[in-house]
Amino acid sequence: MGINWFRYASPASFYPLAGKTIPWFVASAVLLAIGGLYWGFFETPNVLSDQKQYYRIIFVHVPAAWMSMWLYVVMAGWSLVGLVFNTRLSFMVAAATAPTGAIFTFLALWTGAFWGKTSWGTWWDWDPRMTSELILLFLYIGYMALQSAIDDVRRADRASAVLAMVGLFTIPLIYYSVNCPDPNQCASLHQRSSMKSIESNILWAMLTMTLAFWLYSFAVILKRVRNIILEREKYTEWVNELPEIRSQQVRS
Amino acid sequence: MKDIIAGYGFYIGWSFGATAFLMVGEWLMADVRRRVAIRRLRRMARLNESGAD
Repeated sequence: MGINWFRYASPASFYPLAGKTIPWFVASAVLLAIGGLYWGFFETPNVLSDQKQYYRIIFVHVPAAWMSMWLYVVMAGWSLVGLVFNTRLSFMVAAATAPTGAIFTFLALWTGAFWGKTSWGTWWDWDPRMTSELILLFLYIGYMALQSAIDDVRRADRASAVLAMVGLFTIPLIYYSVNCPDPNQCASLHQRSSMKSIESNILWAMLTMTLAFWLYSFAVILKRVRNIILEREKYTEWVNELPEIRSQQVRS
Repeated sequence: MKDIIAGYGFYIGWSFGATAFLMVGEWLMADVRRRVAIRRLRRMARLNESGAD
């Protein structure tokens, strides 16, 4: 007996399901973040190659940078699904993903500035990776601005979906900004990505924090999707029959 | 831990502090938006029940 996934493409079915899963995502995210931070601060070495204690910024910087890229792909993916299948919920999920993606992009730049100051002696440099990450932040801001600039929700969804998909070019740009085939052609302050060279304790603490960020993202995005559903479906009967709306009517 | 705070507390504090601040802030903002949406819906439902325009 299979699950009919298309049933959950309807806001009326998705809304209660999302409400039930949010507490689980939050609890798992908090537990994993506590575990990841403990691991990162107490179970890892005091130095990472030539870097001293400040290298521990890696436990928020790298997960935030990964999240910034993955969430953009998620946002563009749901935008594409919305455009192809014309499903309202897909556009709502894409719209709900943008602020979280923007926050992680900002955090990647912010924490990178503090790490850069300690290891490179500068807060900012027009290094290819930092510049491409900054472009990603502008794309997130552009997506949200476009969404709120158009009054007609359906048109706003479609226009911002096209922008999200056009902006996908930044993801390979960020990756190849330090991993290009010829290292001489992409001189960067960042080192080439390599999982093998990182000590396993540091890597696992970093992956634990990444999983915590993922679970947090699920929770906050689902919470925002529920808000968008309430705002956009306010004239429907099922929204007005929700217990949180009905409870007040009974009292009044 | 004392070494970290004494040597690099400023850099680590601003990195981890900003992360926690923005994540908790984002969560609270979503919560406020939900409360506002629910309040509007309740008001709308009350007006409908009382027959007002």
